[in-house]
Amino acid sequence: MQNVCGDACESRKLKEEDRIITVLSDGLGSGVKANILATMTTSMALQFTAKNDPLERTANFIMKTLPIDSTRQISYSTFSILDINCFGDAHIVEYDNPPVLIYRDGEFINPDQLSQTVNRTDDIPANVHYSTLKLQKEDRIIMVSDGITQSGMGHVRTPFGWGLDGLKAFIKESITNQTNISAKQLARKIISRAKVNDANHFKDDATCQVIYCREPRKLVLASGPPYHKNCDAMLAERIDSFQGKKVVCGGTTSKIISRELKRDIHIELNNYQPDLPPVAEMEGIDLLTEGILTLGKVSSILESNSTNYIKEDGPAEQMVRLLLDSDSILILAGTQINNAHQDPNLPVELEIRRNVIKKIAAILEDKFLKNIEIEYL
Amino acid sequence: MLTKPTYKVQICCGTMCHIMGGAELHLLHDRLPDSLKGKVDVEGLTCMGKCNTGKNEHPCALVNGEVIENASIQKIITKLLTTHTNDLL
Repeated sequence: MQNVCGDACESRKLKEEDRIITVLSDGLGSGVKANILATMTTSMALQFTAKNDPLERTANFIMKTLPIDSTRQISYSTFSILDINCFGDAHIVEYDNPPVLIYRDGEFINPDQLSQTVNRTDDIPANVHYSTLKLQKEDRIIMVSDGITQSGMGHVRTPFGWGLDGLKAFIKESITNQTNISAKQLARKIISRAKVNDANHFKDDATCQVIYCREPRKLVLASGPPYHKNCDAMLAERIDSFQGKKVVCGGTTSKIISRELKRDIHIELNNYQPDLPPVAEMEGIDLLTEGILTLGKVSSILESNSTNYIKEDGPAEQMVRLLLDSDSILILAGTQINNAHQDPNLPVELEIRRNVIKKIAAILEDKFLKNIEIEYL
Repeated sequence: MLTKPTYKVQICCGTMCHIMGGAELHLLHDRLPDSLKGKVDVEGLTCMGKCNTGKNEHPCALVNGEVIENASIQKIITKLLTTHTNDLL
């Protein structure tokens, strides 16, 4: 058995156009061969869609490019492409995957579909479905590969697999039980249920993508004292009046805010962790930490982590959790240089804050598709 | 009048003090001699700005508001014991 997944999914955010494109593909066969087919399809579909190429050309090109399977004499992989712009207009392109499900107000809606036949090189016509819809707040889009809908096939209770109806009922039940279930939780729930259907051992590659349209969760991260001292009051005021989670990172920055807002800082020393200085507490601030060491750790955690799951509970981990649980992040970066950190004799290397912040912002944007805005003070 | 004398130790949690050995000071509470147990309050403090003087004074701590430079657990305990003895007199 080859332990390589034959499904591929990839999402990309086009910042300039404010668009999100996500593609899910299932390659023919299994193992490495299927993985190559699926990965090629995903990246081609992403690229062409991002460049606004017409659908027909994209589909045609993909089918012509894929290598031909030596035993079956066809080249084949399914795909679903979802393209959402900032106004909530979603374009869906589907080819042979289980249909993309759209859940709205307790029901699954079916947008009008346009079918097009694309000619393949092997003369088997391919039906590609094309649909457009206007997304609303609280909508959920669920994309799955056939490993999910066919899970449990051959079992007494589900002789033909879980099926689309079983999946729909499960999604409906999950959302009814927990109305604000996040995309991450729902996707995980669907996958684990499908796994249970298959007696805890998937028979086919299974992939599930969920998109949840909701009011963005906001977070402000302030780090570093402003270059001009007279901006201190403005910084404190902006943090105080911000609607959302608030994180302050840096001793001097905390002091400035404490002074301007006349609120005390309290540091509890009961949680000894030698690698990072402890977190502090201030009224109205969700997390108050030390600066550059914590930011450095945050950056390395984000870099090495590909899932949204974080186990430990140190200051950096707490910050990562807050960052990943937000959608729109405003970073207020003070640009004053801390002279004490410039000593070359220090036992550890202290990076310049601006560079670390830029790195964190880039990872959050590219890897976790967050909306980041950096403001230098 | 019988009042329990309590002492306040504040340990700097700034970046410089932390990497220069201040992390270890957080264990002060566990290392206190019996005569001081229950009489000392230990808490953290954000950077006091001592690191920016160029005099290599970190790590820093405050004992009853008095600055201890290049602090170590032993140094703080000695300071506390002296103060304690003086208070008893």
